[in-house]
Parts: sequence; C-alpha cells; structure tokens
Amino acid sequence: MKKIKLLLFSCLVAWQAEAQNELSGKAILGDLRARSIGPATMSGRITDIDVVASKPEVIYVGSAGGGVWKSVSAGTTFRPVFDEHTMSIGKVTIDQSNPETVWVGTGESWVRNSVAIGTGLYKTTNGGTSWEFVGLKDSQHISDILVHPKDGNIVYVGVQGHLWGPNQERGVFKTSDGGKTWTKVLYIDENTGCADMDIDPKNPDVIYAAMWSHRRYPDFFDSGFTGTSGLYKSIDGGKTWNKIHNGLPTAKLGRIGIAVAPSNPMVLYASIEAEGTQNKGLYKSTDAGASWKKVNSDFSNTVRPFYFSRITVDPLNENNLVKCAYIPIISTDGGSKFRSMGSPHADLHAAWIDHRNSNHIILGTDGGIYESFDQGYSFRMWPNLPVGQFYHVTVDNDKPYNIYGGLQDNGSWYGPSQKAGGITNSDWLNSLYGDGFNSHRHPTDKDIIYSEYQGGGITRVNKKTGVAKSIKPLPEKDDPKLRFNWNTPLVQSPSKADRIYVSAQFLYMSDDRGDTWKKISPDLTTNDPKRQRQNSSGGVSIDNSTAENNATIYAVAESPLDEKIIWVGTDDGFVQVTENQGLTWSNLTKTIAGLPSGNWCSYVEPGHFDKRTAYVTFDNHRNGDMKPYIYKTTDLGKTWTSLVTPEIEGHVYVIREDLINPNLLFAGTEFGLYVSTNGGKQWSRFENNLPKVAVHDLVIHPREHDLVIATHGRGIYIIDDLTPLRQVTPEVLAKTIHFFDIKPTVLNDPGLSGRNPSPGDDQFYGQNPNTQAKIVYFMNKRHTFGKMSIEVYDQNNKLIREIPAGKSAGINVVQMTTNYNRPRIPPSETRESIGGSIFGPSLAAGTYKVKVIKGKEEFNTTFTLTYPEDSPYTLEDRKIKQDAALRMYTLCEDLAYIYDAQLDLLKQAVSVKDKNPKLTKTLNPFIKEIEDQNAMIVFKGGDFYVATEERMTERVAELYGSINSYPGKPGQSQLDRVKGLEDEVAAVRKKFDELKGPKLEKLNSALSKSNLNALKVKSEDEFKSSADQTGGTGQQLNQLLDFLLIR
Amino acid sequence: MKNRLLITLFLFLLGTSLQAQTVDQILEKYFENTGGLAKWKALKSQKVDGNMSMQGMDLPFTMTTKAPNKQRMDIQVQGMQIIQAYDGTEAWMLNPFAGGTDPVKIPAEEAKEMADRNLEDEFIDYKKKGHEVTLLGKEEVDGVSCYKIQLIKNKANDKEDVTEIHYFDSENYVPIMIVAYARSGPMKGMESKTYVSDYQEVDGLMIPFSMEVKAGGQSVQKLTFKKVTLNESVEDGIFAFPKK
Repeated sequence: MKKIKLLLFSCLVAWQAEAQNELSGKAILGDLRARSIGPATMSGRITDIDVVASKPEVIYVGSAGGGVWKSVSAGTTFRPVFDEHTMSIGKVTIDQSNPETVWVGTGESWVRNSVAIGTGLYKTTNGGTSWEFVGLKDSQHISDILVHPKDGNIVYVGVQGHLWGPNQERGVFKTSDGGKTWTKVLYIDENTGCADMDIDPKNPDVIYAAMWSHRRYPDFFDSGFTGTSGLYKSIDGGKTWNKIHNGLPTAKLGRIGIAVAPSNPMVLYASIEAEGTQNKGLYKSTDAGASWKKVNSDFSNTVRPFYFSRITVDPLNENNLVKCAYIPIISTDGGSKFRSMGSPHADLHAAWIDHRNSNHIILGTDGGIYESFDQGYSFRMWPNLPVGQFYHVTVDNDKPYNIYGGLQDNGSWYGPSQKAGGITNSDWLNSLYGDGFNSHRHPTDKDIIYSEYQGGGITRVNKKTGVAKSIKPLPEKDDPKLRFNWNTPLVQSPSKADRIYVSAQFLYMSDDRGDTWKKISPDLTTNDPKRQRQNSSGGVSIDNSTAENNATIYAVAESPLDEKIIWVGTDDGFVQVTENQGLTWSNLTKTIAGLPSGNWCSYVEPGHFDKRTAYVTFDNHRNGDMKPYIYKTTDLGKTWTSLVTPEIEGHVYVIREDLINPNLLFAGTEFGLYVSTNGGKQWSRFENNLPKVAVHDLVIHPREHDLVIATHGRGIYIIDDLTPLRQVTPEVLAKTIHFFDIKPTVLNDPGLSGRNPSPGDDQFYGQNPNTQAKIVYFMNKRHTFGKMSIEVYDQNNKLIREIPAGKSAGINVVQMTTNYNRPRIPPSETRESIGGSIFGPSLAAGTYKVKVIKGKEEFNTTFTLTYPEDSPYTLEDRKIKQDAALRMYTLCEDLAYIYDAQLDLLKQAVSVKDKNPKLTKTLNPFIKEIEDQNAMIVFKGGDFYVATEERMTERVAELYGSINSYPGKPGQSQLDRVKGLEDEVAAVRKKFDELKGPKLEKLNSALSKSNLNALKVKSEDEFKSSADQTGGTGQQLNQLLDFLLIR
Repeated sequence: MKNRLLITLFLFLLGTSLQAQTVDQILEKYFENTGGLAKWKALKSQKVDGNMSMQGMDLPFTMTTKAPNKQRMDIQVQGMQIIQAYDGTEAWMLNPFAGGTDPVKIPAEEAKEMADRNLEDEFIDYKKKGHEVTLLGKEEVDGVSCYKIQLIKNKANDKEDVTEIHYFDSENYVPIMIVAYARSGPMKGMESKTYVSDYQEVDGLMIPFSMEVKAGGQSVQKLTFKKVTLNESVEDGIFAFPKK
C-alpha cells in the first residue's frame, strides 16, 4: 500500500522536475572545492583578541579580513568559526559571566585605506558553533563591545560608523535584552562615531566613550574632521553623558583611546590625538576622569592614531600598560616611561594581559599573534593563523607551479602550489619587504622576480643572491612629480618575456626588465589638483604614507592577442585604450552608460578570444557606494554591457575571463568569489570551502587549469582543474547525466615527504590537490531513491572495485584510489606482515572503464591514468615490478585461502570429535596435522607490536610489501626470493592438496561408517566471497583507523 | 492542453501544501512516506552489513543495533577483527591496531556519542524525549529545495544539549542532509555534513543505503549498506564487554 503511494509520489515528483527547469548556479558548482594553502608564515592583521577568564586556554581572535578564529588549546590549534559571515572584524567580546556567549562586531575599526566594511553585530550562544545577526546592519565599522560583567543581557556597542561618508547608525548603542532591541544612547552627529569604550568593572554603570569625527576619501583622510571628537562618561548606564575634558587639550581632537585600570577604576589612561605636537600623547586621570594630565608623548604614544590608539592595562596592576603602536610599547610605572617590545611584527592593534600573571602578554599585530611570558622581552609567534591579505597573485610555469603575491604590511612572497606532506610555512619565501602588491617571476628566467613596495617601490630581485635592484621609473626633464598608487601596477607583457609595464599617472614600458623605461602615454588620469592632497592628508595628524596617492593609473593590461592594444584604468574614473602601443589613447569613460563619475577602476581584463573584447570592473566603495560594477565591451570600448546581476554582493575588485571558454567568468568582490558559466547572465557565489572573504585578484594557470584566488584576509585558495566547469553548456544542463572530459590523473609514486613526522599540532599545512583518479559528471537532478553506484573495470574488463557514486544535482566529483584491492592474508598478529599487505598493487597507466549504475540505468565513461613525466622509473622497470608484485600478491591470497580452508576443516573435525568422543583416535592425527600446518603458515599469539615471530605469511607479506612499495625494478635478490617463496607456498599447497584429497577421503569414509556427515572443504570462491577484500593504501588505512578510534 | 492543466493543478496543490507547513506536518509526512509511524515505532533491532570507505579506502563492517541504544560495530581488516560496542551503560573496543589484542573499556567522556545514539528516530515523540524541533526555513541542498529543521536533543531535559540540522527534501519529505557538530576535542563545534541517499524499502520501511560525511566540503567517510535486516532477534550478550 505504502509502496504504491510512494511510487505514485515519485512519479509525480519526476514529472514535476521536468516541468521545472534550471538548477541554481550554486547547485551547478556542486562538488568543486577550493583548497586553502595559507600561508600562515607571515599571518596577517589581527584586530582583536579575547580570552575566557575562567578558562584561559579558550581564545578568540578577530582578524582584519579573515574572520574570527577560536582556540581551545591556548593557541596550539585554531579553527575559523565565522566563515559564513563578514570577514572584517572590529571587535570580539566574550560574555565572561557566560563564556559560551560571544559578541562579534564586524567592520574593522583600524580604518586604513584598505580597510573592509562590516555588516553589523553577531552573537553566538554556543561558543561559536552558530551565529545570529543581532542588528546594527548599517554600522560598517564597530570599534568596541562591552558586556556587563554580571548581567550578560546588558551590552554596549561602540559604532564607529561609515568611513567613506555620513551615516546615522553610529555612536554608542545599548541593549538590555541580549540584543533583541537596541537604543542609541550616545550620538553626536552623522560624521562622528564611537572609536573606543571602557567600563568600570566594579561599577558597571560607569561607561567611557571616545567619540571620533573622521572621514576618508579616495585621495584624503581627515581625522578630526568636523571637530566634534571628544571623551564622554556616563555614570548611569548610558542614560546621560558628560564630556570629561578637564586637563585635555582644547585644540581640535582626533582619535582617542580610553582604558580603565581594572584593579583601580579611579585610574584611567587616554591616548589623545590633537592638533599641535605639544598636545598629542598619553594622558592619565587618577580621579575617574574628573581631571587629566599628560604623562608621555613618546613617538609610540603619538604616532598614527587612526591606526593605533588602543591601550591595555594589566588587570593586576594599574601601573602596567601596553600601548598599541607602530613599535609596541609597555610601561610599568603608570605611563611616564615606556620601553619598546622589539621582536613582534610592527603595527600592534590588540593586546591581552593575563589576569593571573602580569608577565604573560598576547599581542595582535599586522603580522599575526605574538606571545610573551616575560612581560614583553621575548616572544613566540603563533604559526597557525592563515589570515594574510593578498593584494595580487601570479603563477609561474614550474612543476609544480609556484605562486607569487604581495600582502598588506607583509611584503612579497612566493611558495609552491603543492608539496609532499602539505605546504608548510617554511615552503614560502620572502622576496621583498614593505607592503607587498604585484609580484611575478620572469616568464623564462627562473632567478628573476619582480616585486614592489608601496607607492611604486618597484624592484627586480635575483633569487640567487637575494638582492633587490630598484627599477622604479624616474621623472624625465620637465616631468611633474610622478604619482604612483599605493598599489602600483607592475605587469608582465604576455607577448615579450623581458617586457614589463609600470604606471604612475603615465604608463611606462620596459623591454629590458626595467632597466630602461619608455613613457608611452600622456597623463591618463584627470590630473585633478583636488585629488592631489596627499601631502596634507591625515587631518589632525599628517599621514602621508602614499596610501592616499590619487589621480594615478591603477589597472594595466596588454591584450594577449595584440601587443599594440593596451588597456588602462585609473583610480579617478578613467578607462583608456591604445591600439598602437601608446601613440594615441582613447578615453572610454563616457561610453560607459550609468557609471558614476570618479569611480575607481579596479581591474581591466582584455579578452582572450577577440582582441576587441575587454572586461572592466569599478570599485566605488571609497565614495561610499558599495555596489558592484562590471562591464564588457566587444568593440574596443565604443559600447559596453553591464554584467552585474542581483546575485553579486559587494564591490568588485577583479574579473577574469576563462582561457578556454569565453562564457566562463570569475569575479572577486568584497564578499567572495562569483562564477558565471553563461557569460555573466547569471552569477553564483562559490561557497565550497571558500569563506565569504574579499577576493582581490585571480589567475588561471594556463597549464594546470587551476584557478588561483588571492584573498584579502585568508591567503591563497586554489580551485583545482576548471575543465569540468568549462564544459558546462545549456545542453549539458539538460541531461540526466553528463560525463566531463578531465585531464588524466598522474600516478604519484609513493614516497616519504622528508618532513618530521611528529612536528606537533601547532603547524599550519596548506592542502595539496587530490591525487586520486576522478570521475566527474553532471546530473540535472539529485539521486535520492534507489541504488546508485559506480563500477570500475581495468583493460581486461576485470572489475577493480565498486565505489559509492556522487548523488548531487550539479557537478559530482567521485574519487578512487589508484590501487587494486590489497591481497588477503592469513590473520597475522605481526605488524610488519599486515603493513606489507596493506597496499594493493598500484594500477598501471592506461584507460579504465567506468559504469555508473543508477537504478536500472547504466551510463559509461572512462578515466585515464598516466605516469609522471620526469619519473626515474622506466616503463619496462615498472612492468617487471608489477609482475613480481602480482606474483607475490597471488602467494598472499593462496596462503590466506589455504589457512582459512584448513582452519575450517579443523573446526569441523573438532566439532565432530566433541560430539563423538569415541572417534578421537581417528580424528586426532588429522587435527594435529592441520594445526601443525597452520602454525607453519602464520604466527599467532603476538601483541601486534614487539611480541612477534616469523612464519610463511610474515615472509610472503613482507616481500610483497617491499616489492610493491617501490615503483621501479626490484633487486635481483628480491626476484630470486619471489621464486623461492613460490616454491615454499607450492609445498604448502601440496600438503593442503594431500590433506583435502586422500587424507580427507580416508577420514570421511571412517566418518561415513559411523553414519556421520563428511567434512567439507571450503572452495576458493566461497572463501573469497566470505572474506572481504579492501582497497587503498596504508596511509589511508591508518587515517581510517585513527578516525574509528574514539578519541 | 490537458497536460498543462494537470501541471497547473499539480503546482497548485503543491503550492497550497507548501504554504501551511508546520514542523509537525513535515515530520508526519516524513514518517508516512517512509513506512508509517506505527512501523517505525515497532522497530526493535537493526543489522546492517555494509562497506565503509574513506578517501577510497574500503572496510567492510557489520553494525548491530538493538533498542533502545545497544550497538556494536564489527570491522574486518586483513582477517583481524576490530570491535566497538556499547551495551547501554558501558562502551568498549577491541582494536589490535591501537595496540593490544584484548578488549578495553572506553572512558565515558569519549563514549558519550555512542551513549546518545538511539535506534529509534529522534523525531519520534520528540517532545516526550525532551527534544526541541524548529523549522528554520527553506534552503537548497544538492540542488534540492529543502526544509531546514533544527533538532536540539535534550533541550528540555537534564542531559547535554546536542544540536543537529536536518534538511528534508521538500518534495518527498525525507532527510537528504544532516549537519552535526563535533562535541569534544580541539575541533569541538566544527560542523560535519552527512548526505543520505539510496533510500530503499526494507520490510516496509524506507532506509537510506548510502551516507557520505563531508567536512570543509571534503568527503571524510562514505557508508554503503549492502544488506539491512530489521527486527531480527539479537542476543544482549554480543554488546557486553567480553568476560575472560
């Protein structure tokens, strides 16, 4: 009955599926997965740290672009806990009275030029397992969160607000119901936000708030802005507020940091940015803010307040405090004198001092986390936080290829795309200091890397010597001052190996690796003087770091189809193209309908199939406009089409056209990677193992067809092998099942990685590509009911294995180990023999048949395996090895069967004997013989470790293992030994034949006389169907066993 | 014309059914479509012979479960037996690969996931069991529109809360994916996703014969059932710690 109903129901469903049409883009992407390769070696900008007071091994870390990370082991291991949300973190605050509750304010408060925006406030009540959005959606930057020490429902949030424009959702907000409702309790105006807060832990109705008027523009920063910055205090839980400026400078104020000494809340420290050098510095109050005195104005107490203003006071001692700064400093005398804490990375943003031990300090810097146990004299870095902020990425053509890129405050680095044992921190090498941006290797000269530091610090580095030569283009006679962007284009020509481009307001080309530059354009920017205020940028404190250099060329690309066509985009809104290598330029900006003026051109991507085609993206977020802008032209910029659809979230940094399929496009935005398989008509965010992280650059490896993703907060990710995606067409999408052509799988020869096998748990390992054989197919509907599986056959149509199928709608990637099943052996209690037999013989190179069985239907395809190109083992050697391994394999299987069949006879004989004691004499010799023979075959009674002995199984399995684990020709002694063992097993087989032949016959006739049933010999087929056989490698077995062990 | 009318009618019916779904209605349909609540409630034991694979590495297993929560897993590796069992109060294992050829007891803290695993579907009489069930909305999984149902086990009793998210196919009302979270160790709280498929009928109940566990988008473990036997009589002795 039920069955009928079910059947009817599925019919209806099937029918309805036909009536429906397309799969969502997310479903199409299916099993394609991005792998994270880090690196963690240079880590990245940390914005906040909080520690559970009652369980200090539990630590939460907020990063500038890589989300929130949690450790439950005092930093030994970390895991990201916020990957489905906005990655720019302003503040992380634990509710110490209920530490499973944690609040996260998104949108960093250290508002440098490259800072990313947030999307409000989030809360977890289960230690980070899941997060709930709890409001302040339009806050964009959150500087502080204070949780009432006794009542976790009372929370104050310091909202810094929009950086790039005015907004009203800023100031201090309070909830008394755990985040359900919010009241704005302190608000100055639409330009002034809250930059810092603190609370009196002994009287939590006393709150301090530092209000900050500030604004950024693409070309200018103004700390102090409208002059409404100030320090406020409330003594009634935020109901009323008073300015507490007695003793503070009367000059215009900028950013203020405020801290209460927890051990004596009368003592306050404030870092004050104010107009006039004499006014800046550290101020102290000993009367809870009633009056202030300046106590220090060292460089680190006045430098760059918008980036460093935070003060952390030792919970145990009111006189110990750490001031965040370019060089981290600490005072132990109440702020009058400071010493620097030297070895951590520069640019400290967050500090935690242990409430049980003043000497224990954790610092969060632009280069990760550092921990000291001697009050800041020495530090160790935590090497496991891959939160680097890449600006750009390139690849070379080595095997495996290397990846090059530059990071925020962490220079330029290069490292391998894969490495035996995983990509570790030490695999990454540094090619230049400073902030890093574009970096690439010379296409043919393996020793040459071009790297740059901020503001046009172009260099050519020789890997052999490690020496960098400055090759920055220089002004010629009568040139104006050159304006290089903070993130200056440094671009390889696709047509000439020695040709590179660099741009200021002019475009420069060099045909000799940067030694000689040719200016090939006039000023291609607006050259608007109002955009050239970098010398006076900063507001109350001058901050001329080149970060605000504007009216510069920001994007440059030569057409891969025509070296004379070069596309250029500027940070002040122009797109220009030359068709004659710079003799003449066309400004195309006006041809792009609907583009806001002054919109920062973030990327130009010339087409790979038609030289008149190009894609451009604009990033207008510095004008307060976070919308995506992507355009395509097919007529050299005369007309443009917008490729933006509602699926795209966030301003756009990069677009790439696939190298094979022009309909396959990739775009990176502030909120992730987007993929279109239909030329931009529909986009989907790529979610599988790639967080919602800002994607600043992308490159497709031309040989490996991988997409390499430069994230600004989580290092580098790689989507291996785009070939299935390239084959997605409307016809494919309509099919029940479609097999994709994919590149052959290279059979990696086994070997040790050469690494320390027990390095501890605090290491970061970049993931390697999967090396198994792959069967990749598309299904237009998920398989849920009935059986679906895959059978794989070798060239002789022998079934190698049945494996589970992928069931999802969209792209399925099914993987299979490249081994035959491993041989059965008698049950040995010796590690070595099991170890030897654990690896099945590897499959040979060739094409294998695949049958996908879905219900009653069958679908056929193949996959191909190849040997590595540069392998030291010849095909002939491999064949000799394979033959020898298979001979030993047969011996293992023979022994397994003989042992099992004899054991089975033994059990039957013993059972007859037990029931018929009078036959003891008849049966005993038979029993004894089996026992003796089986004792020759395998050693029983071991402890699986060191209590072992050797019998035939141990000898056979060990030799099988040593021959099978080496890809090349076995040694002559090994081959001789194969023959020797074959003879030994033949002797065992002979005895077995005698046993089951004449001897058994004799015994059975005796039994028959007593009217007893004859003993039966288990056949080889029976044995094989009862003793399951399994595939895979020893490493996998170990992992599996590890997994099965309850830990 | 007729076809079109039928489609419209069907979509209309589907549309109306979608509007008024409550979590209990969804669960009701789930049990109805998979054999009926009475049959589910009558389930006393289950024996599964299958294959477990991890990155292509296969191990055959037999899993025996007896109501309410007795369980035993037998795995064979190269003729050697690995056993992991729970008798309702105490868990033990035999694993020569972990050292030693004698069975050992498993500490309670590490056995809590076994102790919480019941034969009976947790959604049956979930209120009586002290579980909280909430419909969180609809979400797509594997290209299928699903009801997203949160199950917090033991929310209303003294035992430790355990949260899972079950995604029920909104056409057929069967779960196709379950999100669970690691309950101990350094990765506590980390999510894993179990995709279930290959539903087949066994004695009138629809049982998924295939499961795949993924973490971070990567396949961690696959289970394929070869044979499922329901309500066979099972001796309690096989779950107990072996006496020497």
